[in-house]
Amino acid sequence: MSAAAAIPRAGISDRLLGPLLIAPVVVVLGAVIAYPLFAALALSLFAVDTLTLDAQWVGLGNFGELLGSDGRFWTALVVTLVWTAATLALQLVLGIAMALLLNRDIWMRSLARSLVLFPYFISTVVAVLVWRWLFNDFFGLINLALIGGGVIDAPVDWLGSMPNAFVSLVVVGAWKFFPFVVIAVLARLQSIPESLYEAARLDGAGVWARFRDVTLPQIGEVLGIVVLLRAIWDFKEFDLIFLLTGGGPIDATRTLPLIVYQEAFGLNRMGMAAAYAVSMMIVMLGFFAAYRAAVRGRA
Amino acid sequence: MSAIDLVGVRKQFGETQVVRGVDLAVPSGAFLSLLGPSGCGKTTLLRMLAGLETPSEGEIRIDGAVVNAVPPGARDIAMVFQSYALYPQMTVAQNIAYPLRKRGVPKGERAGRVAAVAEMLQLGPLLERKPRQLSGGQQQRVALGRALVREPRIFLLDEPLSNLDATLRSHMRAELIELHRRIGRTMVYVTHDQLEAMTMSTHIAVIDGGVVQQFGTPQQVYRRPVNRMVAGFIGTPAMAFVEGRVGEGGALTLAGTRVATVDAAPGATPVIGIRAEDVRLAEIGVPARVGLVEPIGHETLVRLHCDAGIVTARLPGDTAVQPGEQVHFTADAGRLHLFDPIGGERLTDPYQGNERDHG
Amino acid sequence: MSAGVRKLGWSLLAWALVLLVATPLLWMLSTSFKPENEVFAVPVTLLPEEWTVEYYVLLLTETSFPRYFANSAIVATLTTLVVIALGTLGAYSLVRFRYRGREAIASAVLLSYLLPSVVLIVPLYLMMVKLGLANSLASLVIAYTSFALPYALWLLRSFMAAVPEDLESAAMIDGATRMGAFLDVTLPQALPGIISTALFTFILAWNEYLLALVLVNADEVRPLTTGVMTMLVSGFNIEWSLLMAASVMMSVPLIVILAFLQSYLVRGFGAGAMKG
Repeated sequence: MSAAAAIPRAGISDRLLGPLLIAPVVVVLGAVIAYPLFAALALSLFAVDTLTLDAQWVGLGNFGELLGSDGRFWTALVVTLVWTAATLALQLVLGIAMALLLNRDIWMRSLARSLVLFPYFISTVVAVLVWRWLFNDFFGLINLALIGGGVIDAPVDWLGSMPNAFVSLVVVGAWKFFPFVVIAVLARLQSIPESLYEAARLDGAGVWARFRDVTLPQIGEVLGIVVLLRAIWDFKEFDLIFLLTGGGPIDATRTLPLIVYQEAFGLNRMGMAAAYAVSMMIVMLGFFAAYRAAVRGRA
Repeated sequence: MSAIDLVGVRKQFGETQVVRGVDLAVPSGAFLSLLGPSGCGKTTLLRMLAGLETPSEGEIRIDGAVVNAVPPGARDIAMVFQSYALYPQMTVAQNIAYPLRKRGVPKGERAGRVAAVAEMLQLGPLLERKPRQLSGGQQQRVALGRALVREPRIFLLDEPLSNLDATLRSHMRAELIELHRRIGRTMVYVTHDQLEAMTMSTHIAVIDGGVVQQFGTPQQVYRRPVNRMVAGFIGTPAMAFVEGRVGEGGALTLAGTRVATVDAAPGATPVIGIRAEDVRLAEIGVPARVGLVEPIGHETLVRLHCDAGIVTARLPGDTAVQPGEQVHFTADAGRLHLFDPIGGERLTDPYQGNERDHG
Repeated sequence: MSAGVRKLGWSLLAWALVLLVATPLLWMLSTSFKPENEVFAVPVTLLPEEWTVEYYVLLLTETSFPRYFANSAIVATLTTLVVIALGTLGAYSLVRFRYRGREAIASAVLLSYLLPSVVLIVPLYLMMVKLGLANSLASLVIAYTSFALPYALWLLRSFMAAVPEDLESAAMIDGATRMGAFLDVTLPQALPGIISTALFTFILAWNEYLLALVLVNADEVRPLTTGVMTMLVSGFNIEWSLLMAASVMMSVPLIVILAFLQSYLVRGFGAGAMKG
């Protein structure tokens, strides 16, 4: 019996099949990412009116303006960095603590885990609506609870004044995004072999020593990646800030992504918006380089 | 006619040359082992035979026909993987039937052939199980069954026993030998275990650095290794290598003691290879100090430290030597292996008057 | 201290923290069932004294909410289908084939996975206007692939890489073609990962706000995110019960996913974020 004759040769060689399968992805990503990205770079060199779409070549003029004393780049960059650092720090503390707690043998552990995941998966719109209701001046749960508990006498304006608005933002950001830290750390905790703890116990390590010498080194790598990813995502966060404070009061919480939007669709200056976006991307490239270095370092 | 011919086969991945020019003619019905250390290119060679990799250069022929461009499924070969590669979502029966299904064998015939193979490998009670419900040995059998069911011209086996425990491994070794005898098909077997290769094969190709170092029967490879690499790789305990010196009149000395007469210029320093079973203790001979003594019961392995290096001796089980003791040893001149001290290749038949063919 | 007491202590501590985290969501549920007079009552009632579904009824009958919901469902489903179809084949190509530019494509995918959407909104907006797609569900599906596809590729790549290549080799030796082996062996093995990626993609698309804000400004094509926000600003006074009911309804798909398919989500987390 000749099986060779029974089976037709494969229609397409592997050499062609590989590129062929990735081609649709390349085309689509080219259209929705690469092209817009280069268009943004080009736009940043023009002054473009959003309504009429009249474009005028200004070269690096947009960048000169945004980096100059009239521009808001530096202030917004500081706001963005402070927001990123503050909310990320809170996410880490809350996330690691929660992961350690949920890794213990507690009542109804899987239900607790599910509840903790919720904030991360619900829409930012929902999160903001709920928190705005909680922050409500006269009928919000927070003010009522604080007045009831005798902490404050009069309702606090949580979103309309500084530094309250910033603090509120950081807290809501931490609440929304800390489950990411929980899941990442919890997954790693569960993979630490029990024998490591037993060995440490035999070596006379107490609770704290076991955490410092066994747990911490094991979750260290994961934390590195978590910090970089969350730093990038918090840095570029738009929805939460735009919806919760809108950048206010005045410009106090206006981060770079909000300025891009405001320039394009509030002030109708598309070229300027693109220039802000490009500047922001350059800052982010720094983050990205750090991420790659960290990934390489682990391999 | 040979079942498989490899002619000048090369394979490189990017800049890395994995196989650097292999010529091999495998006789029909042979059990050929591709034997070598990990990373030597033996698995790549097997994957090229299977059609899973395309040679960068050279020709692969099966029954005389060039198959370089023939896809794996059309080569009429079967392969057993080191990982067994059983399809996890299919039952044992479905796994075994898969190659038949892909060949359009009618359902009724399929069932019959699966049953026949299951009978032969004692898989009957397991047919409706999923692979993950099987032990390693059972998975191994299913993988064999899937290869057997098509009755292919050639079987390829990639370290199929390496994931089994020692007892099961020697059991499966015997079963494979028996299987080969019964079906008489050509088998190509990749392994890094020289014991497997020696016990199972009709032919061995020792591979290192992407080239065939030696091709021959197990006896040929053991008795007349063509170079130091082959000599050191085949046999347990490994062949000992010590420095020899050629004096006036071709007198070969080991640590100052004359051990043979060779046809070589005075001043040459060939490497002398000595197998443990060729070493004997004697009243006169090479002086040495006894090092590690390993009694295994029916025999005792003794390390002998002499001025030229360390030689291992395989001695009768009742040999009474103590570590540190001073002894003398000799070895039959005709059983010494001489290798070039630089290139490592065998110095062919250097002995005067006592040439012997061990093959 | 006995093990039982210790467990009690840790459990209480953990649950106190969990409840604190869950409070906003429980408060959302509670408010959505309260009649108006109770919403603004002082002192507050934790649970409604008088349960009412009037705001849910109102939401579904008197507002554009059902339309928004349908729009979101259509956009998220289509985005998921497109992204999974392209992503599965693309990830397979990245994992199993060697060709020039493969590494470059993989790096570009990672780069675009971290790219802020806000950089793309202006050119995407101009593109949709030029193509005549502004204010259409199609524009949202196209725009959503810009962030969902890189993410999905990244997840699928690590799921595909976890399927042993030997399985596919075995299938090809057994007589399957390359694509046949992919369909018979690799796809079934990667299925849990594909489901996980699909869920993530669906959630991303369901929750997206910025692109919807920029690309769509007509009620007929608004998805839930921007739609519900217009309900907040368009009303004369804010009806919190209605908004909380909308929030609950909007979260129903996520609640379903979290309740029944949570293991898939956790799996996706591990693959996407940690195996960089």
